[in-house]
Amino acid sequence: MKILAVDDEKNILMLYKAELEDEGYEVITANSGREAIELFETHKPDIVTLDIMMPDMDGIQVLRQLKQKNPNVPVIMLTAYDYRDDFSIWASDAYVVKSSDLGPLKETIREISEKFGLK
Amino acid sequence: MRERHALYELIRLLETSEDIELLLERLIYHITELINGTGGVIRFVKGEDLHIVATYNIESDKTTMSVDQGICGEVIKDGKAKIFNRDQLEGKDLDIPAYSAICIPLKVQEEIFGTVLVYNKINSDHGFAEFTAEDAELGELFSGLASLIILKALRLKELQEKEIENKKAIEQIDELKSYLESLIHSSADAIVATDLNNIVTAWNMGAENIFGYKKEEVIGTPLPVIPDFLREVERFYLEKVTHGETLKDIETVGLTKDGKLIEVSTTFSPIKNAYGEIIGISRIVRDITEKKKLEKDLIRRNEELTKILFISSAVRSTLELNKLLRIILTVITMGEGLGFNRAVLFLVNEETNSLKGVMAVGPSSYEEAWQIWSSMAQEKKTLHEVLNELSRKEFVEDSFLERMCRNISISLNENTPIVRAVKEKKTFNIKDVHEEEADPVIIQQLGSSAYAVVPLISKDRAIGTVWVDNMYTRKPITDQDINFLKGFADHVAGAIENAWIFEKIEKAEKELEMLFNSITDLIYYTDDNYSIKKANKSFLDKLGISKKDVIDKKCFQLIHKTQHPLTECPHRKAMETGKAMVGEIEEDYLDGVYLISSSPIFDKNGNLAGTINVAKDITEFRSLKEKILIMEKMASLGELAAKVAHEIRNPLLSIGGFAKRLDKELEEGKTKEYVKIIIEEVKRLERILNEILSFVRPYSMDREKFKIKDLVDNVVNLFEATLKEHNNKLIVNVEEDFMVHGNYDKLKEVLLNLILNANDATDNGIITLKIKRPDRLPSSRAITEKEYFVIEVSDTGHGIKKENLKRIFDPFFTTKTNGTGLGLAISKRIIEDHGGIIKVESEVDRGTTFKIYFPAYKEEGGNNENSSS
Repeated sequence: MKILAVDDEKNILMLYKAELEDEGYEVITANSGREAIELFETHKPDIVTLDIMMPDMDGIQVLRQLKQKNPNVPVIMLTAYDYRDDFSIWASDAYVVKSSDLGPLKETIREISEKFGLK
Repeated sequence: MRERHALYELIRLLETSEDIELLLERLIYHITELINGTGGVIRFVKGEDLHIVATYNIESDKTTMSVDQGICGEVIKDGKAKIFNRDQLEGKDLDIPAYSAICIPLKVQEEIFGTVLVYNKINSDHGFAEFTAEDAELGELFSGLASLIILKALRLKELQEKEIENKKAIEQIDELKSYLESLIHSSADAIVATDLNNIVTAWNMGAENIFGYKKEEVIGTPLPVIPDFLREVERFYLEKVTHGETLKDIETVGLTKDGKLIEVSTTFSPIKNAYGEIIGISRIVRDITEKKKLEKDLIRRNEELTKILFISSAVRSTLELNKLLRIILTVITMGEGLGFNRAVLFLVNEETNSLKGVMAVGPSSYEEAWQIWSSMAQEKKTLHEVLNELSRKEFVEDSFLERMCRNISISLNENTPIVRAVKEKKTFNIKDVHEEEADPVIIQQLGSSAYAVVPLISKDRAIGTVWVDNMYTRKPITDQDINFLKGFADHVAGAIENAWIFEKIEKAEKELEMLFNSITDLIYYTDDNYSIKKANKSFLDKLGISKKDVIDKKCFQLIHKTQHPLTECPHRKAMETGKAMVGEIEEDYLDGVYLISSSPIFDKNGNLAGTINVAKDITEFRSLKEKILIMEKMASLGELAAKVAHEIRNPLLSIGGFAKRLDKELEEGKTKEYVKIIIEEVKRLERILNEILSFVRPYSMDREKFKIKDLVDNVVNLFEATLKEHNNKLIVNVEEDFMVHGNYDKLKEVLLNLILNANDATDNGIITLKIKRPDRLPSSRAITEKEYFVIEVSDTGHGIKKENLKRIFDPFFTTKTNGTGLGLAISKRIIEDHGGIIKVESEVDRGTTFKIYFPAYKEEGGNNENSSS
């Protein structure tokens, strides 16, 4: 299963890549919103984890474009804090509050892949 | 031949028998002629005497002689005719000197009633001769017949005389009768007779004059002159009379044909028939109205002065308008006073520019009138007594008349007498409302047909009118009545105005007092030495003391519990500068912040006399202001924090994430220990970050309905271990379960927070969680339709210092070494977002109590809890 991790911080991408590969996933990373859209088209990931706050393009915008391209690919939003009241993230399939503890993220990925029938 | 002639004459005599004298004269003539005498005399027996009743050709001086005297005497004795010759006549008492005589008795059935005496028989030669036996025989026969004729004539005459006498007697009776009748007829008194059924049988001129009914109108009808209200009394009188009593000079009241009541004096007597049975009643009625009037006038003149003096002293004895007016009206209507039937007082109402009925005294009906009069007559109270009684009495009069009068309001723009009385200060005596211009309202409402109006003038200003009438007695109002009323009105007008003004002032004072007491700000007056002279209800309520404990006490002692006025107190500043001052004072003793405005009062000479102080509790206002400030602060802080948090979170994520990776790869040893520390500290930082973010960022509040007890049960289970750490005991007491509409998780957070705080502050103690009805709601929720319940969390811990107590709900305020200072701030916000209030009480070393006043959810009815923003 191929996961596209999107974040503007390279360190975080590095961490996600290492941690998720340890879990046995194939991980590609995008450092910006634009790159994320390109990689989404070229690499056709099974799941996307998307940081919501990025300098070039807002995560919400990215989410909209990704969903327009292929609504069937689940997107997990990563937020700095509780975003539940924000209507715009409703389009996403799940969200996880960013934390040094990656347990909740890994758990969510597992739930989503099961729900979407991914390998 | 002679006999035949004589008989013929006798028969003719019968025709003249009606005139007895003529009859006797003819008789004696015929007898004398029959037996050829020269003259004759007829005498009748009357008792013991003989009287000449007729003579022929003789003039006798012996008109009366005894029955046993002379030749007549002899004949009466013998009972038969007797002839006397010259010798036999010698020495006898004769009417004339005689040669011969014959005397024949006049008798009927042997009873001699007279004699016929004929003298001197003349023979054919015209010489005297003696009477013969034949003469005697003839004479006797003739006399016998004549006796019958005489007797018959006498009887006839007797009858005639009797008839005349009877006639005379009848005439006399008639005369007497007509005299009596004319006496009765012309009597000034009414003389009236009735039968036992009170049907009039006699009615004289006097009665016509007094009562106005014509004889023809009343004869045969029930006596119409008794007023309805006197019927009982009349029946009582009649009862007495029909038992034979005569009632003399009863003073009562009569009703005339035109409906007037007149004062009368009546004498009742029984009328008896020939057998002494009482068949009727006679009344002699005298109209004493005039007499009474004279009497009253006399009394009036005598007493006028004393009365007015007395009344005016009574009038001046009270300043109570109501009482005063009642006294005045009573005096006007009392028999002993001015004696009017009804009196109504109208006063000018300047606001509505009208005359308004204020008070009325008098009976509402004839029945009531009679009751009052009779009870008054029984009690026989003097004016003095009545006035004394009145001045002591509390008036709650509410007569029909009065209620009616209070509704009367006459615009001063009208031009009717009652209004003119005020405008022109004139007196009006309207003797007949149909003949003169009158007030339609009065006629309509009071049914008066004649009345008088007198203005009440005080200091050259008409303040109202006194209206009077004699509705029930129909007694005309005289000029004298008016004069007295006028004098009286002039006298009392001043007193009325005084009382009126007094009442107005009193009313204004009361209004001011009410105003003063209904102001929720605390108001008090002080003198120039901080002594309180007057304080309003809010002030007393706030201090919780009674009026007597406030007056003349120093304000600073009461309010601040100090011995001197506070330096910063506006009151003190106002006293020192003589200028109005405003300032805020926080008074812990009175539990709040007050905006005090103090204004100096100066006396006439410009010296400081004291101050008026108004203290407004602005605690709530100030806390609101503070809250707004905090919210503003929070909003900017929130934005900043969100940015910072985001910036910090990413590096923390990297640090923590890689530290964990390191941790996984490192063998056990010191380095691994260090990495673990990094991981833990990052976790702590992230927790703080989450708390800050959840406080500054709005959160959603999904509400649901649940029972507070369910929440309590859920929360309590989480604490076992934590409580043990401090050796505390948790007591849960749900006195009553309430339904809540709110966010379960948030409220759970609040309860967790409070219990954790309590546990942290307490060792070896007791923590109590109580759910109950509030004893009293905090002032900001005092007026509400919502039902509130209380969640109370108290501990027996070390308490919170007073200076900290106010700040414990401030964000980032904490006394704990490892707290964020957001727990209580967040709790407070959650409670307030639910429409509740959180309060804290604490005492150092005794413990702390948090009280949450929370709205209970009611199934029916509009439940309009605020949803959070």
